[in-house]
Amino acid sequence: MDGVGTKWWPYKHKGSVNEVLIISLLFLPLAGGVFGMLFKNTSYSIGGIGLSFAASLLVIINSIEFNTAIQWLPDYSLGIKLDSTAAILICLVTLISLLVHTFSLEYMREDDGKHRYFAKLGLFTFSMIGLLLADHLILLFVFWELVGLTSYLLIGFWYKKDGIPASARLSFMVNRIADVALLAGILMINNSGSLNISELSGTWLFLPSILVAIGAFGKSAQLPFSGWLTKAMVGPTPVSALIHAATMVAAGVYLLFRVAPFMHESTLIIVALTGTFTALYGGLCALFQHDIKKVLAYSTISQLGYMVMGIGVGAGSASIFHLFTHAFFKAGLFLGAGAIIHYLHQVTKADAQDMRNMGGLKKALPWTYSTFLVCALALTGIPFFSGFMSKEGIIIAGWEWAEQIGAWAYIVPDVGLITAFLTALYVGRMVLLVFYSENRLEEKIVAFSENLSLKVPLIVLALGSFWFVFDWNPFAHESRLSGYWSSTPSHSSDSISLIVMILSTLLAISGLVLAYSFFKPGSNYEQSFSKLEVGKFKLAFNGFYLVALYQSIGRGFSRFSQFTFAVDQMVVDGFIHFVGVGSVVISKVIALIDRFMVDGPVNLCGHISAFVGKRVAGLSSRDIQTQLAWLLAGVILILSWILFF
Amino acid sequence: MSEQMLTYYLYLAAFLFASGTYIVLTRRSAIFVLIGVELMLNGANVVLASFSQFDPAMNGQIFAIFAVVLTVCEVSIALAILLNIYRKSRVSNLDELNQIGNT
Repeated sequence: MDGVGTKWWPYKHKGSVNEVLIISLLFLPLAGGVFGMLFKNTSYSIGGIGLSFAASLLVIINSIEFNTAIQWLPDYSLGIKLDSTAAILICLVTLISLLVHTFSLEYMREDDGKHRYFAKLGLFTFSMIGLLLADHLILLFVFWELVGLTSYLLIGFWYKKDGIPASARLSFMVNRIADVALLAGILMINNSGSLNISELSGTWLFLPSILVAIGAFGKSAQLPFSGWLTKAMVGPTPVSALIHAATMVAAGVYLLFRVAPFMHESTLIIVALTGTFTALYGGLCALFQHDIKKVLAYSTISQLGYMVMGIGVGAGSASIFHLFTHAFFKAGLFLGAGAIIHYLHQVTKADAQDMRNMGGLKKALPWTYSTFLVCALALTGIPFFSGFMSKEGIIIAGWEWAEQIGAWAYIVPDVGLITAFLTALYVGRMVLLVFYSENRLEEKIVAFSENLSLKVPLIVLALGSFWFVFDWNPFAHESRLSGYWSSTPSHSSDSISLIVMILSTLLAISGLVLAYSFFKPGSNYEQSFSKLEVGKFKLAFNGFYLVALYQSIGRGFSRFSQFTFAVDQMVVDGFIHFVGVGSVVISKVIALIDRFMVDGPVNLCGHISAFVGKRVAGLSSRDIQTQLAWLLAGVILILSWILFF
Repeated sequence: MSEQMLTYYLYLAAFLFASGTYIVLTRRSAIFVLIGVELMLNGANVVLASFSQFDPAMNGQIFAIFAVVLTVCEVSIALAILLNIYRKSRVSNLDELNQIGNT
């Protein structure tokens, strides 16, 4: 895959120049963020990420490959590897990051902490690029944690508002639990050989591979970890577009894609099923949300479910393709939602994220409307849009996989198709309720000039949602980019792909039609929507109470720890008390024994010698007559000795 | 003179010696100590005189006469010293006589 620009980049095989290029690619976003925060100037951040994007384009056009290692501990060389997969994904990350930076210029203009915000964005972009560059699983884990940390920092960006720190903490902790599994998995793999991804070989045992998969599930918000993603929606909306839609949550899919060839086969089946049910779960929950960002969050969960399912059925290439297209249209949708929220903040005091306060925004935000519509159609999976191509690829692969596995496995592509229908339904509902009919607010709609820095990212992302970006043929389920991440072109039988294409197109269109008949302007639902209560759809509205489940698990843990505390106090402390008191008693007894049995003879000796000493001391008395008496006694003793013995 | 008689003489000598010793050990006054010493000497003289009964040369009795003569000289000198000490320091108690020369 030699790029066209090989000639004007004469350093393709010069390692040192490439090294500088890669290092600047990695560190420029971070440096831009730091300088931007130090000098209170956002243009540093924009410049840093812009240059980084330019560098990644350079890498792509010249198809530069790069491989090095940092010596860490003995026997641990942390590999850094830039292959074509990493290169194209870095290009994606820097592009989306650049667009989000641009969008944030307007979105965060009034915010006091915007320099802090841009610094965190820079840190995030740095970590994400590092994650993609890392070839060693431990290095990858380090960046994995760094993106988790920046995600936490950015979710809790408005940390002074009620409830936001708690939400940030919840998302962070749910991720940590999955990361513990990932780390355990990595350490178990470490026992059996190299940790460099490019040097992996053989098949892992079931336990380490399921642990790694659980780590990926956590990051990619798969069941049962999905709850954190909706809690993450309290962060600024551009952050949701960058981190919680396009890049970070896709890191789990990326990891699975990298390690899938070494996974145990039953793990892959679990991965496929988890992805499938997560897709269904996200689609169901998205249908009943009032908060536009929560609709998008559940939709993201659902689409990530597709990607994970694709990995599980052995269609890693299709999954990465879906990751790619999803990054464009979902970031576009989030940024569109951001534009709407930004607008409503200026118009009204009411909740700017609640769809019950929207409606009729087509006139107020024409550019946002058209770009949002394009991205929404891409999400729905209508032909001529990118989502159609990539989603088809996954469902077709699922179908073929099911043919090999057995009859029960058809649940995977079937649920995938049902989710496609649900997707059309909730997308139609969202678009109709937000942009069509009349405004449900008391305030009058005023025209709003969409700023250029809002408009440009939206337009770019909407353009990226059309089919021609990926392939001239709108019905291909491959992309001209596929060569970057897959060496073997997938070969699916034409009959299956035809059936799946027709089925899913029909389902998507019927979903849209159904959505229109239910939620069209003037329908019963639309009329009563502004006063709608949650009512009988509580289960789906609350995301099947996943968050409540986490909280009750947390409470259970705290109960358990209180219980163990009590046990500790009563049983363990009691025992220690007993031992302590017992030893005091024993020592008293020993002291008594010591005083009478041991000290007694010693003192007796002492007393005897003192007595003798006192008596003998008289010998040297100054009384001359006593001395004389002793002398006499001595003489008598000697004489009697001589006489009688 | 029979051996029976000798035993009585020896008892007398032992009594004299013991009395002298007792006086020497118990009395504080230098004069009494001198008297005690005389008694002890006389006890010894009695022993010498009585054992010389069985000696044809009578060396013991001659020795006893010498001892009496020497004792007279000794006592007169000792009494003179004591008298001088007493005159000089007004002390006749032996325990207080612990210094030589002028005090």
